[in-house]
Amino acid sequence: MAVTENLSGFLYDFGVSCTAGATTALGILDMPSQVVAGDMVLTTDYVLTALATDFGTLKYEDVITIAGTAYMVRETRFIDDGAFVEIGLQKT
Amino acid sequence: MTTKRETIVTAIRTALIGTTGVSTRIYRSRVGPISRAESPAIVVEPLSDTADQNTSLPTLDWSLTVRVAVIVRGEIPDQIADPIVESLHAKIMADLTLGGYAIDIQPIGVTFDIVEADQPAGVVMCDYRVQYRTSVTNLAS
Repeated sequence: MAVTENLSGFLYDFGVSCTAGATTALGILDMPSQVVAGDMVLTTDYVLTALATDFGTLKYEDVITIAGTAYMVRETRFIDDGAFVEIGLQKT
Repeated sequence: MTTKRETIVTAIRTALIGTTGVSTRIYRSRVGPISRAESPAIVVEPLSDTADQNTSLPTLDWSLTVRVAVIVRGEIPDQIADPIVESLHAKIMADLTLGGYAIDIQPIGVTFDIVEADQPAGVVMCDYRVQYRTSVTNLAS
């Protein structure tokens, strides 16, 4: 018997409200610090994990508002079976 | 006593005071990374120093390579760094003896490192060769 999954459950506990265009849905925002450019630049690697059906079509320079803060999309990467995406962001 | 090498690097850092856009964020051999809030900034550091004995006198002719790195953040990092690079170059080349400690200063070249970050980041590395002379036995004179 086929199992019908509800992928939204993955986002219920730690997801925050995200809006891009006409779409509002949950996503999980991570923001670890990282050092780049030959150890000379300290940056924050903003990454949003969300359902591909919600935000999978976002592309470079699209704007997404996450928990009230605006970010600009760097790239959208499908992960595993493509049901989820990781969206690299820069803070505007 | 302080070696001429140290005096020269310190003199370059001092000469850079007032460089366009960086305020007081001019660091000497800073090893910690520069955050977005600290940008733009300048880091001055020595890269190498080689000696030749060119005369029959007890002297050494040194060739010191100094890097002046400009760290910026913004949509087009190299463009944002441009007025800073122009300003720092003018300040370094204004006194080719650095107060009498150097024989000459020559620009070697500029290297660009532009990377993805929470806002695009750029490191523009301006390298200079500083020629100076010491006695064979004393690096401070």
